This record gives sequence, structure tokens and C-alpha cells, in this order.
Amino acid sequence: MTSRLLMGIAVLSGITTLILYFVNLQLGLDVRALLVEWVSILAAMALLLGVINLVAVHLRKVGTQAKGWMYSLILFVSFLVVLSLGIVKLAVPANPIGRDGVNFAFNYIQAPVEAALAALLGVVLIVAGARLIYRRRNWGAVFFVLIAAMLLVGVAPLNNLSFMQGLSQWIMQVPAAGGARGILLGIALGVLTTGLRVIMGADRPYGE
Amino acid sequence: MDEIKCPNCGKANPEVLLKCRYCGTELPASAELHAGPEAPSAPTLNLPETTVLGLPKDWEKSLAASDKAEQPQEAEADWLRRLRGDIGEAAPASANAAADTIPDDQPAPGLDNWLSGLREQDAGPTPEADQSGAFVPTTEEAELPDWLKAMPSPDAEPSALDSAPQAEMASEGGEADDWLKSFEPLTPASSPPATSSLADWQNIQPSATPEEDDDSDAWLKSFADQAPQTAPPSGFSNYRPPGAAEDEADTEPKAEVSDDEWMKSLGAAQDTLPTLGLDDFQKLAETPVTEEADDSDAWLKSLTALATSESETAVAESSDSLPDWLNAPTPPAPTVSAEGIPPVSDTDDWLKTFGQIESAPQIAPQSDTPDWLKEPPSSASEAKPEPDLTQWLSSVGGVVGGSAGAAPESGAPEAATPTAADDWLKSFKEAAKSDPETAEAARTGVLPDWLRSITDEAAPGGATPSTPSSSTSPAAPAGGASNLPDWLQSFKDTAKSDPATAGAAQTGALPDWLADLGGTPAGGSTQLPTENLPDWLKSASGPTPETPGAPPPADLPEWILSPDSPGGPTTPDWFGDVQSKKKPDTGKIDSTVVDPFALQSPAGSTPAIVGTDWLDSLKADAPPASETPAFEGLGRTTTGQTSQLDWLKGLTPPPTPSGPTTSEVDFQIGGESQPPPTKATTGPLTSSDLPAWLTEPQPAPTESPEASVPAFSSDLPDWLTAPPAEMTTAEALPTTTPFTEGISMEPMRLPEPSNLARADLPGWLGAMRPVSVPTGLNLGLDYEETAGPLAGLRGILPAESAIAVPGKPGAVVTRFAVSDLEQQQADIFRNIIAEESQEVEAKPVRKQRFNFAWDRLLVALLVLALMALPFAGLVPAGLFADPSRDLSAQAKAQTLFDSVANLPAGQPVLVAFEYDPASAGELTPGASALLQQLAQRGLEVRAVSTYPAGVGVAQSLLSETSEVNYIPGGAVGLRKFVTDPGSSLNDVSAIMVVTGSTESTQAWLEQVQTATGKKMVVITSAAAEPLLLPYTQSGQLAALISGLSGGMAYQSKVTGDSLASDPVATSQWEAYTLSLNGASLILLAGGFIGGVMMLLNRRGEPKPVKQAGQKQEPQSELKRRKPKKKKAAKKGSAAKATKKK
Amino acid sequence: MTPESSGMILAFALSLMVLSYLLGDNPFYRIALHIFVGAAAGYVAIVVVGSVLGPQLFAFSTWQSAINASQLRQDYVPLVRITIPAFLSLFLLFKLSSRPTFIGNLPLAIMVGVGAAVAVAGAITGTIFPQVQASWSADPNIVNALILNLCTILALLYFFYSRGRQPEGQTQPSLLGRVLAVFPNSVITITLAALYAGALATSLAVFSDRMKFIANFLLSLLPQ
Repeated sequence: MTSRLLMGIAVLSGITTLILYFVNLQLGLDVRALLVEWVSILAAMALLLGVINLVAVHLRKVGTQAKGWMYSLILFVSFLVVLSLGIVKLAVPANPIGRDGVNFAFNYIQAPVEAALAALLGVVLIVAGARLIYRRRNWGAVFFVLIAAMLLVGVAPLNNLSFMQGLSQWIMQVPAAGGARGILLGIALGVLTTGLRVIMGADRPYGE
Repeated sequence: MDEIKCPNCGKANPEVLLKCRYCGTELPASAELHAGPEAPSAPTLNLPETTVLGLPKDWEKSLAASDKAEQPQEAEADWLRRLRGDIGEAAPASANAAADTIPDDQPAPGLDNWLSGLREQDAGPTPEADQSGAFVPTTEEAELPDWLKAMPSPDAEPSALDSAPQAEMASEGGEADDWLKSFEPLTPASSPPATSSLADWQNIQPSATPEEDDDSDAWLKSFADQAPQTAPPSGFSNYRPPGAAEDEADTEPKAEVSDDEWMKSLGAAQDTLPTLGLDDFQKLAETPVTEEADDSDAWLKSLTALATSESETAVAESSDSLPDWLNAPTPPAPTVSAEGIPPVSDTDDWLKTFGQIESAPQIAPQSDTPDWLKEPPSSASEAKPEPDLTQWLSSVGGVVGGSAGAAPESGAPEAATPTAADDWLKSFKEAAKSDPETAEAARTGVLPDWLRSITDEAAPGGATPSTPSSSTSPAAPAGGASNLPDWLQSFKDTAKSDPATAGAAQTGALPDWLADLGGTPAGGSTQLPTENLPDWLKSASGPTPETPGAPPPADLPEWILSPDSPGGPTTPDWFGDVQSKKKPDTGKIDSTVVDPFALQSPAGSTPAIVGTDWLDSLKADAPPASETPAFEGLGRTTTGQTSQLDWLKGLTPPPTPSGPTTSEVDFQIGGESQPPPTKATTGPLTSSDLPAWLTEPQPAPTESPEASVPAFSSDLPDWLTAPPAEMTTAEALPTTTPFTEGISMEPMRLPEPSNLARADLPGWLGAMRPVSVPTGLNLGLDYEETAGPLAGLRGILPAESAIAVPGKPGAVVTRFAVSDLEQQQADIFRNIIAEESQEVEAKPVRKQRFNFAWDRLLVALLVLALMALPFAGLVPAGLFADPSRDLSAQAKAQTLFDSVANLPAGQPVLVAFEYDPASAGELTPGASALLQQLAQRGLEVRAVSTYPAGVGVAQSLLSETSEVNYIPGGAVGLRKFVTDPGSSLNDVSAIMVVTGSTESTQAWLEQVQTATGKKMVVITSAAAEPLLLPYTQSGQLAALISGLSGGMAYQSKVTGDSLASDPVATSQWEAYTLSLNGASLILLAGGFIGGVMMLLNRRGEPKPVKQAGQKQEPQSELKRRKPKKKKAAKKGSAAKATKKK
Repeated sequence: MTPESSGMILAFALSLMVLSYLLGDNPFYRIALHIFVGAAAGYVAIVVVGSVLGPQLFAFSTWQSAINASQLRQDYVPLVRITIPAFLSLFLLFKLSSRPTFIGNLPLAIMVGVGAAVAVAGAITGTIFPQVQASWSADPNIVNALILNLCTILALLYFFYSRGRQPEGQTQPSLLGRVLAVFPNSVITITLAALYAGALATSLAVFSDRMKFIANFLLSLLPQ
């Protein structure tokens, strides 16, 4: 019963929102805006619950002193520090300590680590590309490696390799764009079918 | 209620009284007169007195005494002391004690011994047999109920006497009827008491089969004939403690004591296999009466006359003739002779005679045997001059001569007459009277005379000795064979104590013959045959006595050789004569019989020979029935049974098949103590030539090998070394125990299918059958009990628990514990576990991580080196292209620049910072250049972001005062941002999205740009460019710059300065360019190496089965990624291959 | 030491700790990662509360204005716009429990329904129609236009090309099918290679930015 009720709520909200996309009525616009506003607030609340759940999990590990509880403690400490600075920033907007503290944490803690992680991604991608032919021993892999190497050179070619820039640009503008369009259309059609299944109650990702 | 006549005053007494109320004489138990109700319980009452094997509790004492007797100095005193003990104690004790010493010669202890031995035989196997442990468990299980069933009711009393012969007759091919017919004249008078007692017996033993009832009736008849009125006291007294016998001997008159004693022996006899007796007398009842009844009356009357006049003198003479050991408590045997005194009735005569016969042996037993041993039989003429023996010898000779004389004429030994019986009895009486003189004469070499008389008897007609033996049991020769080692064994034991023993022998008790043997060691005893018996030993291969006029030596060997031929002469006649006419010999030989008895040697066969031969010599005569007392006396030993058999054979002409009764008897005898395993050692004559008790192999006692085997082998080297067939059996005898001799018949019978009817087997015998090992306990109706008293029965609850049932527990447990389905499931589970363990062995992930670490480190070092070169200034100038000069980048930057430049002035611009610090390094140049251009145009920037971190990135680029709104909810939040009336989107002229992802750009395009239709420019990363180009080509995006090159190109366009103006930016660009080109080279190098390895692997490895429609994955990847998939693929390929096949 | 310099040292240390992962997993990398996660969670909480929940749900002024609107103007819309999401947000707290409940799933069902409708509408209006319309839009270079459209069709064929499966799960395409499968695979391969190259270029650009930061920090340490 509850699952049917949830499905009805999901279908009703979905159909209402979808219909009001194509029905240009003031009441419809207000209802659609009201639903979208509720969902955006719920999305923010869900994001906050995610943060709370993350902190609770690591606090549980610290309490039980499970494996890696020291890292969880470090995470919790850093969370408390940034949260305290943010509360100060929100509570006392005029106080620069909160604002500067949050900015300091973002610029000198979060930004460098994220950038370093992204830099590691480059190394990992290179290693994966180098292993591709050894892993997938087919002509598709060889073709993939050759195209990738050509496009890389074309992004920032050396002086004596400028001739490859035009070929790489053509590949990016014509076949790759054509393929990308097909991918976009495929993704869009997938989103369409998936959304319609949810709206029709075929898929129930919200649980039973 | 029956009445018992006083044996003294002859007055009737109530059955309940133990002593005569008139004269105070102890009354015989009614159980001895007939089958009384209390009879069956008698053995049960006495059972506690004996061990499980039927031995008295104190049999160990006698064994200990026998050990002491081996000390030389005290040899004579020991055996005398032991003999006294033997008289008083239970038979096995005296038997074991006398076994090592001379009292073998004493008839009284001998009598007592074989009586006790008979008891023990009834009870069960010997302690040695028990120690052997080969059969004790089985016998204890199966024997007890049968033992109880066979416990001597009065019915069994005479049957005990007949049981052994019965069994032996069975072994002789059905001679049971022969001796049974000898009772035919006795049967008529025995009916009434038998009937009454039969009813009682049936009441007491309801389990008795009808046959047993008939048997009891039969034997009661015969018993009533033998001792109707003056039946001895209850045989229960036999089971009284030995001390009781001594007390009576001391306190009461000898007549009473002897009466009691011989009744004890009789009671002992009755304890022997009663059911056997029942069977025997069943035949007896069925046997028609013949003329011999008159003969039996005649000899009984003659016996009466003899007994009344001479019993006291016989006792006195016997007591006088006895040496100092006579001071000891009176042995039962002489008193038994006195018991025969009371002239109660005709049938008492034989008892009197028996008393005389029993008293005689004590006179000069030793004086005879040595004589004939010393003096080899020379010629027949030497026997004539002897006056004492002439009469009885003549009487016997007359009988024999008559028979012998008739032998040539008629050749039938049955030509016996009452007259001959009277003469014989007279002579027998005189012989009993002249015992002292006989003893004296024995020292003076009288015996050679009768030895000569043997030759005389043999001379006129060799048939004389041989003729009676024509129906003699083959047990006789075997008995003779076993006899010699026995009494020689006793001699050998005596030799150990030679000085004293030899002295004693010289002084009379054990005269010269002992002196002769006393000094002879065990090995020296082998000289005996060579010295004393050279002729008959030499003539072992001589002509048969049947041949008239055959030389005397030729007569003797026949009893050795004859057994092979049924009915042939089996016993030396002279031996039989000695037994019959010289009671001392009988007593002596009896004692010798007893001693080996104690030694658990089959010496019991000796009396068999004795009884056999003296009866054979009187064969076919009614008077030999007068020997019944003697026979009974002898018959109370297992050997006596044999002797009884022999003289009965002499009385019976045609043999008839023994029938199932005999076999039953045999089995019963065997079942009492004989274990099935001992069946193995059987001589070739076991089935027919020899009595079972001879052929019976016994579990070797612990001490018997020393006691009997060496003496046996040493005493009879000549005719044992190359023995006839029966000797092979005789060799097994020394290992037999006296208590298992009779028992030993059973294994001999089992192999014979002739007389056995399976249905007749008693339960205990079924329990002794080899039991097949059951694989499980079947409790169904077809379950057959294989052990215990219920063995052989079907459909009963098992006496043994399932645990006790032997079998293969593993198989049983497997069958009961695990079903097939469970077994299959267990196999499946086992296979699953095995596969899991195999997977654990692979560990591909570890290998991959190791390789990956090296690859990653190498690539990282290369990339770091390439990026560090520009910052280190190690890159040559002019190597890199200036992005500001890049045409494609310049065109894109120009498009964006124009789009911003074309925005209406004074109208806010919405800038969405849809990226996080991870993309800041690539997007910051373009975003900063955009903000700079917007700032150059003085356009208001409204910053928003759907990324929480985008807020921080925007704030890091914007001024401190600018506000960045966070739009939660992704596409929904953008839709809300579009539809929000108070949204900052309403009045903006353009939407400028700086994003590092395709999704955010699509969201902005789909939710905002489509809804508002406003111009939208995008600064994105190189990763998102391929998927955003279509939106550019579709016109949804006004401008798009991507990556670091696009940002630097746009930055240079906005700033108007080349990249070279900023060294840090130049170094970053150079590092970026070097890393990109280096990455392309690494990809190509990796691809080349991978291709080479791919070719090498394809040559080295078998080409994997390519599954159509799927990209073939190299095995290396399968190994490193999913080792289980490899197995699955192999299984799939294998299944495919099989399908294709 | 100024906050910038201390920030630079901290950023330099954290960058090295993260880059130490090139040598393998190690505690420095884990510490830097947990510090980053904690700080990012705290920053997200601040942004969400300060930008959305605070002004729209927790702010007293918002409730006061809504109540005033309902009392003064009999306009209950503002109050409904606040009350319902407030209750739905409270219902979401039940999602923190281990077992799913109707109350916790109720706001989630609304979010899924509305989000599916928004995604469907945006995909139709923002991608399918514009991209299909753009496929036959005129291109100055017809060859490029044909190739572009051909690649688009081949890419769509790659997604929508299906083959009958046999019981074993294997597919046996015909020869024509195998020949036709080459082109879509090639188009997808080219597109994915472009995406791979763009991702690698982006990561290398960020790596170069990190190298610039490290170089600037090291240069700042050098005496002037």
C-alpha cells in the first residue's frame, strides 16, 4: 500500500510537472514553480543530510575505534574547523574571521588537494592508455591509441608538429562531433525513456 | 510319596528321611532310586561347589600340592599326603596331585579321582582349558543353560555311565545298540519307578522334548533293574565338600561310608550328560527283551552270594594290604566295596561284587603291572603252574577257552553260559580273597604266570583274545596308546623322586616295578618297551590273532594294528585279563587312569582298555554283566565309559546305527566344554576308527605339554614314531584335558553329516556354530539369534545389543548415517570448496597492483620530468608554438570575445561558475579573462553556481563584495531558477557558463537557455569540448572555448599581450605542451610494446576460442582482472567443443 | 607569517601528500584526502545552509513574512511554500535510519517524480529537438556535413544495434552485421579517443597548474 502511495505521489508530481512544461497557464506555472521550489529545497536538505550522514559514519568509527579511526578523526576535526568558521561567517557576516577562515580553508586546503587529485588523474590516464593495446589486443585499441595521440599533439603541438593540429581539429570538428552528437542524442533518448518509466511508475528508485 | 528301604535293615522309610528311622543308617536319596522331582535341582544345589568348569573350588590347592610333589625327598610322603587329600577332596584335586606321584597306583584314590573327574567332566572344561581361553567365552555362553539342562536328574544317573560308551559307539559306526541290548534283560523290572519319576521329571523340565521323556522312562527302567531297591544315596553327596567325605569316612562304619562314597561316585556318574542317558535308555526301552535276561539274573544271583560272604574280609584284606597311606581317611573305593555287603536283593549283589572289586585294587596294585612289565610274555606254558590264578584263569580260560574252543567250531564268541559265569565269579571271589597273597606273589614274580596264561589262552585259539575284540571299540587301541604314556608319565614323575619312591617300591607299596621304573628317567622310560614288551612291540606288524596257532607275540600287536579294521582286536587281551581277573591291576590301572586324568592327559583311555579287554575276554557272557560294578566303578571315569562300551560291545552281536540320539549325545558332550576352534586337529580315525574322546583335540593346557607330551613321546618311541593312523590322533591326546575328553567328541561329530539332523541340535550347540559376521543388526522377523541360550531361534528380540554385534561398523555407519542424496550434496559442497581454494591461489590482483605501481611510477616520473623542464628553464626556446598564434584557438577566442563585446551595455550578465577547484587550473585563465572583459565593458556580473565548490571558486575570482548564489538541485534547481519570479536571471542579457563538465552545460542549455532563449557562451575544459561541440554547431551556444589553450588564447585576446609576457604562464604552457606531447609518445610507445607482446603471445599461446560477436580479450587481462571468468570461459569453450563434437 | 604564506605552505604540503600516491598508497595521501573530505563537507554544509536552507527555510524573516502574508493578505501561498518543504525536509531526516520508511520515502518520491519530468522535458527541448534539427542544418562543407551526420547515425546505430542472443548469452551476428558493426565502432572509438584526449589534456593542464604552484612556492622560498 505504501509503495503504491509513493508511486502515486511520484507519478502525480512527475506528470504534473511534465504537463505544465507544455501548458502555458498561470496556475500551471505556479504549481510547477511550487513543486520545483519544494524539490530544490529538498535537494539542498538531502545534500545536508548527506554531509550529516558522512560525519556520523566517521564519528561512529572514532567511537568504536574501528580500522582507520584516526583518519576519521582527522576528517571530523577538519569538518568541525571549517563548519565552525562557516557558522561564524553566517552568524556574524561582518566578522572577517569567519569569511576569511572559510576562504582560507577553501583556497589552501580544498583547492590544492582537488587539483593534485586531478593531476594524478592525468598520470593514471596515461598509464591506462599505454596499457590499452596490451590489455585489449584488437585493432580498435590500436585505432583508439593512434587517434588519442594525434589529438593530444593537436591540442598543444610543438612547432614542428603544427601540421597535425589541423588534422586533430578536423577530427574534433567532424567525426568526433558527429559521434558526440549521436552520443548526446542517445543519452537524451535514454534520459527520455528512463524519465518516462519513472513517471509511469515502471521504475521506482524512491523505494518500495 | 515313595518309600526308601534302608540299605542296612531293609525297612521302608519315608522318602523325606535322610537316615533310617529304625537303624539310623543313612538312607539313599530317592533320586538315586528313581527320577524324583528333586533330582533335577540337585546339581543346581551343588553347582556353587564347583567352578564354572565343574571343578571344585579348591582344585588350585591340589595343583599346588602336585607342584610340591615334584620335590624328590618328599615324593612318597607327598603323594601319600596328596592321596589322603584326594580321598577327601574333590576328584580333580586328587587327580592333579596324584598325577605327579605314585598314588596313581591306588585304586581308591583312582576311583575317587575318576569319579571326581567324571563330575568335572559333567561340569565343564578344565581350568587349563579355561586358561587356554580358546573356547571359554563360547562355552560359558552356550554351556550354562545346557549344563543346567543336563544336570543330573536321577534319570541321568545310569546314563552317565552309558554316555561315554554311547558316544564312542557313535564313533564306531553305531554300536550303541550293542551295549544297550546288554541292558535288555534288565529292562522289565524298571518300568514302575521310571514312570512315576518320568512324570516328575516332566513337571520339573517342561522344556524336555518328548524324546527326552521317553528316554528318561527308558533309562529309569534300566536303572531300576540295576539298583531298584538298594539304590545308593543321593548322588548329590558327590558334590559335598571333600571334607564331608572325610568326616563320614572317619565317623561312620566303613560300610556306611563306602556306601555313601560309592553312591557319591554314582551320583557323580549320574551328573554325566543326563540327556545322553535319556537318549540311550530310550533305545533301551524300545529294545526287545531277549533271552539274556535270564543270564543277567543268574549272574546277579551269583554276585549276591559272593557279596554277602566276603565283603568285610575284602575290606579288611584290602586295608591290611595297603601301606601306611591307608591310615589316611578311607578312600571311597574300598568303602564302596564294603557297601556292596548289605544283602538287600539280587540286584544288590553286583554292588557287593563291585565292592569287592573296588577293594581289591588296594592290595597290590603295583605288584602286578611291574611284573608283566618286567617279564615279557614268554610262552603259554608258564601261566599253567600258577595255582591262584589257575582257577579264575581257567574259569576265564574256560569261558574264553570255551569261546576259543568254540571259536574254531562256530567262531561265535556268544557261546557263553551261566555256568561259565558262575565259575568266573567264583574265581573272581577267590581272587578278591587272595589279594594279599596275590600282592605277595606279585613280588615274587607271579604275574609272569598270567602273562604266560595269556599266551596259553592265545595258543589254543588266537581267536580267543581277538574274538572279543572283534566288537571292541577302536578306542581301545587308542586307549592303549594313550594309556601307556599316562601311567608311564606317572612313573616318570615318580622317577623324579626316585630314592624315596624306589625305596617305597622295594618295601612293598610300590615294589620292584616302580623300582624298575623309578630310577628310569623320562628318557629311560623308553627302555620299558624294549625291555618288557619287546615281543609284542616287535610283533606290531605281526599276523593277526585271528590266525590260529599264531605265535603269542603275534597276538599282542593286533590291538595296535587292528583299529584300522573295524571290529578287529583293539586291546591286548592279556591286559584285559589283568583288568578282569586281577582287580589290583584294575585298581592300579585305574589309578594310572586317574593320574593322567589329573595331568589332563587322555590317560582316561587306560581303563577303557582295562574295561574293554577284561570284558572282551568275557564277551558274549551274561556273567560279564556281573562286572557291571567294576564297570560302573570304572565307568565313572571317562575311561570307564569306554570300558563300559567295550564290555557291552562284547555283549551285543549286531551293531545298529546309533541314530540321532547318539549324535545328540555326542554334541551334548562336546558342547559342554569343547570350543569349536579345537575341531581342527583331528586324526584320520576321528570319524569312525577312534572314539571321539580319543580323537578329540583339546586346547593345549598350559602345563600339560610338560606333563604328558614328553613322557608320551619318550615312553612309546617305537610304535609311536611310526604309528598307525590312529597314533596321529593319540599324539593329540596328551594335550587333552580329562574334563574335555568326553566333551571332545562334539567337534568330531560336527564334520559328520551322517547321524546329524539339524533340527535336533540343541540351542547351545547352535550357539557354537561358526557365526557369520552380520553387517547390521536385523530386528525383523527373520532375525536369528546367534549367541546365548536363544541362539538359533528366529523372530526374537536380540540378546545382544546392536553395539555388541560384530560386523563392519564403518559400512553400517555409512549406510545408516549418510543417505545417497546427502552424499551427493556433500560432494557438491566439497567441489565448491575446492574451487574456491583454487581461486585463492591465483591472486591476480596482487600482480596487477605490482605492475601498475611500476608503470604508474615510471609514467609519473616522465611527466614530472617533462613538466619540470620548463620551470627549470631547460627547454630550448622556440620549441613550442604560441597559443596566441594558434588559428583554431584564435578563432574560438575571437568568437567569445566578440560575443562579450556585443552584449548590450548596462545590462547584467549571468556568469555561472560550474566547476570546482579540480578544474580551476585549466579554466581559471579563461574565466579570469572573461571577468576582465566584462569588467572592461562595465557589465554587472551575477554569479551563480550549481556546485557548492563553484561558489568558492567564483568568490576567489570575484571581488570580496560580490555575492555568489548557490542553486541547489541541479536541473530542477535551474528550472526553479528560471521560473523564480525573483530570480536574477530575468534581466540578464547573456548567460556565460564556465564549466568543466558536460552535464552542467547540458543542464544550463536544456533548463535555462531553452526556457529563456538567451545567448549563452561557454568556457569549458578540453574534456567536455567533444560533447559540447554539437551544441555549438546547433547554434545553442554562441561561443565555446575549451581547455588551457583556448583559455590562454582568449586571455591573450582580452589582454592583447602575448604569452611570452608572462613567464609563469609561459612556463605553464610549455610544461603543458611537453606533457601532452610526452603523453602522446608514451601512448604510442605503450601501444607499440603492447602490440609486440600481443604478437609474441599469439605465437606462443594457443589461439583462444574466439566467441563471435564479442571482442576477444587476451588471457593476460583475464588473469589479472577476473580469474573466475577464465574458468567460466574455459568451461564454456569446453562445453562448446563438446557440442560441436 | 601571513595567512597567504601559511596557506601556501599548507597547500604545498597537501599537494605533495596527494602526489605521493604516485609512489603508492600511503598514510600521507590518506591524511590529505581525509582533511580534504572533512573540509569539503564543512564547506558544503556552510554553503547549503547559508545559501538555501537558511534564507528559504530557517530564516525567521521568511516565516514572519509568510505568516504576515497569510494574515494580512489572506495569501497562504507563502506559508504553504514554506511549510510543506519544511515538513518534507523533516521527513527526509527519517532517511538517516537504517530501514526505509514511508515518511522518509515520501519526499524522495516527490523529488524523483519532479526530477524525471524536468529531465525528460529538458532532454526533449534542449537536446533531441535542437540536435536533430541541427543535423540537417546546412554546413558550408557538405562532405563534413555528410560525415558528421553519418557519424551521428553510426553512433546511434552503435547504441541501438541489437543482435539476437543465444541461450548461452553469446551473439552470432551475420557477416553483414559484423561488417556494419565496424563503422559504428570506429565512430565511437574516435569520439571516445577525443574524450580521452580532452580528459588527459584537462588533467595535464591541472597538473601543469600544480607544477606552476609548486614552482612559484619554491621560487618564493628562494631569497630574492
